[in-house]
Amino acid sequence: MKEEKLYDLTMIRDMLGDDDEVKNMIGIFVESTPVSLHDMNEGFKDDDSDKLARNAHKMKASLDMLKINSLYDDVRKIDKDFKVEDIPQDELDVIIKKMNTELEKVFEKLKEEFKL
Amino acid sequence: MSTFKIFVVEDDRFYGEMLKYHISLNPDYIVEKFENGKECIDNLYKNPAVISLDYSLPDMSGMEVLKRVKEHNADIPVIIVSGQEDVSTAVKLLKEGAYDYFVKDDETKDRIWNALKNIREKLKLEQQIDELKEEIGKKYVFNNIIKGNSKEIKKTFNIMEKAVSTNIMVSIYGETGTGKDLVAKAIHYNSVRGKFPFIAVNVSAIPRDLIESEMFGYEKGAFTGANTRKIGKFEEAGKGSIFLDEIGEMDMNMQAKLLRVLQEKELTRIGGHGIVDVKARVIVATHRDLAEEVKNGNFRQDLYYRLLGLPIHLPPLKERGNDILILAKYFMDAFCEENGMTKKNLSGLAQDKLLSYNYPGNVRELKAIIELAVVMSNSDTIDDIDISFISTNKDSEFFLDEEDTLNGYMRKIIKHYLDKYDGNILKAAKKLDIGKSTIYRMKKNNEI
Repeated sequence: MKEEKLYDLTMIRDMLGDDDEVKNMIGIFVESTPVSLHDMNEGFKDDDSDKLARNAHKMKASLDMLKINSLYDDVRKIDKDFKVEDIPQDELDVIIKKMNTELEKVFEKLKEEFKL
Repeated sequence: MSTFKIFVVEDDRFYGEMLKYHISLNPDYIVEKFENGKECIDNLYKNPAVISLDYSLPDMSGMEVLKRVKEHNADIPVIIVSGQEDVSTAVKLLKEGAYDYFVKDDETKDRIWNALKNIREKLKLEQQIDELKEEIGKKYVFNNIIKGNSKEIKKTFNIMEKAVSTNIMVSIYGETGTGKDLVAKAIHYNSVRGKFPFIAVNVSAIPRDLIESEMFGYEKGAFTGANTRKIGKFEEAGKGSIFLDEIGEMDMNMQAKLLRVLQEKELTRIGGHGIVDVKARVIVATHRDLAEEVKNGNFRQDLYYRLLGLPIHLPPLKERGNDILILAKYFMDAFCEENGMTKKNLSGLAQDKLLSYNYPGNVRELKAIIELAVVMSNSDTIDDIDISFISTNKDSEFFLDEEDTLNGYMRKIIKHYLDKYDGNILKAAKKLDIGKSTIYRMKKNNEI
């Protein structure tokens, strides 16, 4: 079975065209998204569903733009209108863990690809 | 319109930078990016042309930012870009005045690009409209439209000033060709209503059966052929002015309907039930003596008083003395310029000839006479032989067309008045201030 790609930069390359600009934007992504991920984790740890959801929502459009399809459904489950009681704790644990694991892999691979 | 300032308000730094970069591909666009609502609001003094606003911001909601932007300047288009596909939120935002609502997806960048293009086109058109309005305003500055220094015309300017500074209804009286329509436009474009439409209706040019639907509009199905709703001239004028030219020609039935609209300041479209508020200023004009028409039973007295407002009497050209020469020079220069000709002068004899004529067609006639004279003249100076009086108005026949004896002129004048009053000797005698026996005698002797 073919392994799903971690991300797909086709749309970003189409939008930006210039390789230097793509590198610049990816630099912004690997710099700013971990901050949102960190804030989301804090929300999760502190049972602050609002903070958790707000930061998931904040990342959603960027993850879509990089076509990080493995997180497409997960990020939407804990998006803006999410309430802690909506999702069983064990499922939420899995989602948060998956988001962290996948995004860490994405950050690593992007850093490697663009020599950041 | 060279540069076009756009605010991108987006809390996700990466997404915001992507949008900023994409929009900046158009070199005419200057993009400033903010990551929260407060920064955007604090920078509104920079007067952005458009704001692209993320609905979910860390410090305040998109709705709150939208409201604050609209409080600052309701004309700034705000495009909401949201990660939420929530129809009810979108509807609320649009009701609050958002220009559009886009969900963040693969198409967002193209949607924003198109929206910006449309907004810019719209702003360009609005700017052009404003420029044209300003041009029109300049065109209708009083002494640009009515040339002259005579006492009579200065008096008219004074009254026009009063009409401009108030909202009073205006009635303009004057012979044909005196420029009643220009005065109406000048009053409109120089007043606070100048930004709104000026709608002119020539009452005498609209068939009696159509005038009500033209003025008040109709609903779909109101009568055979009413396939769609049509708004009338009063509605079209909005907060501007409606100019009812040749109001004296309006039939009695329509006069009653107009009176009601003017009294109630509201109308109902034909076939409709809803009330439409009438906000337009009404300016009327006529070449007739409306008071006389009221006396003769041809015009409603109540409507006459309702329309009277501020009366402006435009003097006939023959009473404006040297204004004739000022206007002649103006028309001469304008015609030469339009036709790429060298400017011409008027000889002394030509000036005398122009001053001695009575211009039944008023300014309009003078313009035609001068344009013809410019064409006929073979030198830089227009001489008396280049000037031909071309009036078709019967009133001028006795005085100008042929030389005659005093008795001959008298016969022509009396005959003219008898024709005018359908052979009514008493009326003709009264108008001419002569004894009726004089006319009877002349008739008996076959002199008339």
